Amino acid sequence: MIRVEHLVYEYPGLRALDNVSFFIPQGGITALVGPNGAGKTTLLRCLAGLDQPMTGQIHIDGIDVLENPRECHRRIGYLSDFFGLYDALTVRQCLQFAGESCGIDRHQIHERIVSTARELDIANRLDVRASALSRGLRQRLAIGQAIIHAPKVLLLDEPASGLDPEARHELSLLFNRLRDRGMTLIVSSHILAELKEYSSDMLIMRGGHIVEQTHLTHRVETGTRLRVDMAIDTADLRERLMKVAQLELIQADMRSAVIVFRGDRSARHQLLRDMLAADLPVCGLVEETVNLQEYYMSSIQKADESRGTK
Amino acid sequence: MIDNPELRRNIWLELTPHRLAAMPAVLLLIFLCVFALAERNYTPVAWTALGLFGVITVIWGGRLSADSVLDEFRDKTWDMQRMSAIGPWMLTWGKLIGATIFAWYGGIICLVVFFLNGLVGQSHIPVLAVLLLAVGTALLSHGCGILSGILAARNVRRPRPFANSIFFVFVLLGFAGKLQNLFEHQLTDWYGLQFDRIWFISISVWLFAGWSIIGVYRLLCIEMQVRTTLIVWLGFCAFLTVYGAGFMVDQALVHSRLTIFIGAGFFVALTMTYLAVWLERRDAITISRLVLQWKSANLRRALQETPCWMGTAPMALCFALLLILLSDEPLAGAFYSSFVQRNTSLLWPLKLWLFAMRDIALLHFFSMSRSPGRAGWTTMVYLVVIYWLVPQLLSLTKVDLLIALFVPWSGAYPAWEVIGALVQAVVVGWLALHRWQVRTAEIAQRSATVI
Repeated sequence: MIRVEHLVYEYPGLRALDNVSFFIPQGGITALVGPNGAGKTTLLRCLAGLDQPMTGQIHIDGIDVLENPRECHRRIGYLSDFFGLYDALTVRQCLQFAGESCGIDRHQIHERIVSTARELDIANRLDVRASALSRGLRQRLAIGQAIIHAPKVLLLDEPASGLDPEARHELSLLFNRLRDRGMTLIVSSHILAELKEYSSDMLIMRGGHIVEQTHLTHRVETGTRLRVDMAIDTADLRERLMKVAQLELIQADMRSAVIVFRGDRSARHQLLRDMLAADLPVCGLVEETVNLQEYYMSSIQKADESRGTK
Repeated sequence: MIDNPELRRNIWLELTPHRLAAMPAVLLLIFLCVFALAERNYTPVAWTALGLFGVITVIWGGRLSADSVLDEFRDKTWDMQRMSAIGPWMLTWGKLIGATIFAWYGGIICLVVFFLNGLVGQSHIPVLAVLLLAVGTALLSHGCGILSGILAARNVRRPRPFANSIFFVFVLLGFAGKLQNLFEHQLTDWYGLQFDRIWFISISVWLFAGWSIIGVYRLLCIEMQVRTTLIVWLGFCAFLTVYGAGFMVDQALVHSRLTIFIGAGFFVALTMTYLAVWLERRDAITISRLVLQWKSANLRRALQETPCWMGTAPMALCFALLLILLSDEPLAGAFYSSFVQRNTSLLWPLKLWLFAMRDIALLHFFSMSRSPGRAGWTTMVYLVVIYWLVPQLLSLTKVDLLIALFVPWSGAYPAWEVIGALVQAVVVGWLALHRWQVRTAEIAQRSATVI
């Protein structure tokens, strides 16, 4: 869906993106993380066709962004970190202007306004001026403007900054809904805890480079990470688990193990029964979520070590 | 036109019921007041209406049109406009008419009052020509307003609408000062033909208004990532040449019309080069991007990335060389400036061009610095020093040759002046090039050490 190759972008005195390459498949939510000045915003602006890189290639949905930025604009939605709204317009007018600017037919626009407003839970505020909205509602309206034309790709730069926990949670639910509809999202954020709720992939940037790109969740076909906890220390846990079933063991010590399990919920129930039948002192079997903070810090550390060895 | 979302957005914002009612009410009160004070004479009402049109539509409308872009930058909605699917042509008209629609609303009322009172009042006012001039001036003001707004926002990213509007007020007051002479049925010579001055100026204003709108379109193309080349810029220069040459062609000089065209072309190309280089981006990255496209032999992209001044500077050189080759006299009869009269050498076009290149190189030298934000002002200070302070000091030495090295208007030592200008242009050009290489190497090195 999104293919970036050897992207280089320079500001006077600074190379913001240095030979950046990655591929993002359709239908996921990719968290773009990194410290301030890592190049996240520049990367998003290049993807949105707003800034022209020095060299490199960007393809979104088969469109060469650098050659046909206007064509790309029709297929993407973009919300910048410091977004603006037309404060004197009502929510309805803001959405109508955004929709018509994105080429939505006049006959369809009112239907789209209503459906987008419902999606964002601002349908009861359609005739309220944008200036009268709270921070969270303004954020929703801005996202509404970015998605009213049903783009295939949505780029969001720090969408949750300044929002309260409840608004952030609602934003996460919205992102998941958009992903379920087949939209591909890239979300830049500093708040790693919030990304965990919806991100399927993570792209870590530092100093204009991609430090790491990784999958955070495993789908059924690729397997689910399960954590098996023991009630008492079990010396030969690794060997005993392997005897129970052909498991992909990620790590194990005397108290717990992390495995990759491929199968549905009933298969998981059967696995638990098998472990108990094998007299393993199992006291817990839970899906393990990646600790993004730890993962991020470990990636950054690896990158630093790699630089040290170079 | 009504399907234009930008126009509709502006209508929502500008034409509120209160404003629609208040404007005619206030204007009516003013006209009634003037009519009563002028003892029921229609002519003062006509002039008042014209004056109000100037204030409301030309001056205030110019300010509104500039703000239509500057406000987008300030309110951070410009990116949404840049990604809009409506295209630069629709956006041009949406801003041109939409942002000023309330000013036009008041202005049209004023023009109707002027037209009716002009007809029944003083008969010698060329009402239609004045109407044409008024509307054309307003369009020109609005076009220039949007142009300056985009340029200010592109170059400084910290737009100063107030300074912008003050500039417009001064320009328009300058025009207004000349307005009185327009109604005296004077004639204008253009290509040996005589035109009624007010009609000539009205048509000229419309032509320039048209070019300002084309200029807005081109800048919006750049902002909206629609690829453009220098064709519009070169076309405008060609128009200025043809238009300007019309004033230089004298009936006594019909035989040297080609030389006049080349001379006009030279002055236009050189002036526009000088103007463009101040308005365009010229940092190390912009130059690097251009060099990269030329190196990769991507001719189309390279032409799209080429700044306007690089299009007109070679043209100015060609015209300069042609002038030197074709002129058997230094055009003294055609160009009545004291400069040309003093510069009896045939080399003066080349000298001017070289001095311009030195200044452009100096501007680029400062633009390649680590903090290029003040490059323009720094260059201006240095140019004042070079063109004014240094000659003043050198004049104390009574050595004219030294002065000739620094200023193009000395005329005492033509060959030395050309050599001096050439050496300066090469040296400053080399310094700018060296600084660009250092800057690009620094960027590459810094990125290698970051990770």
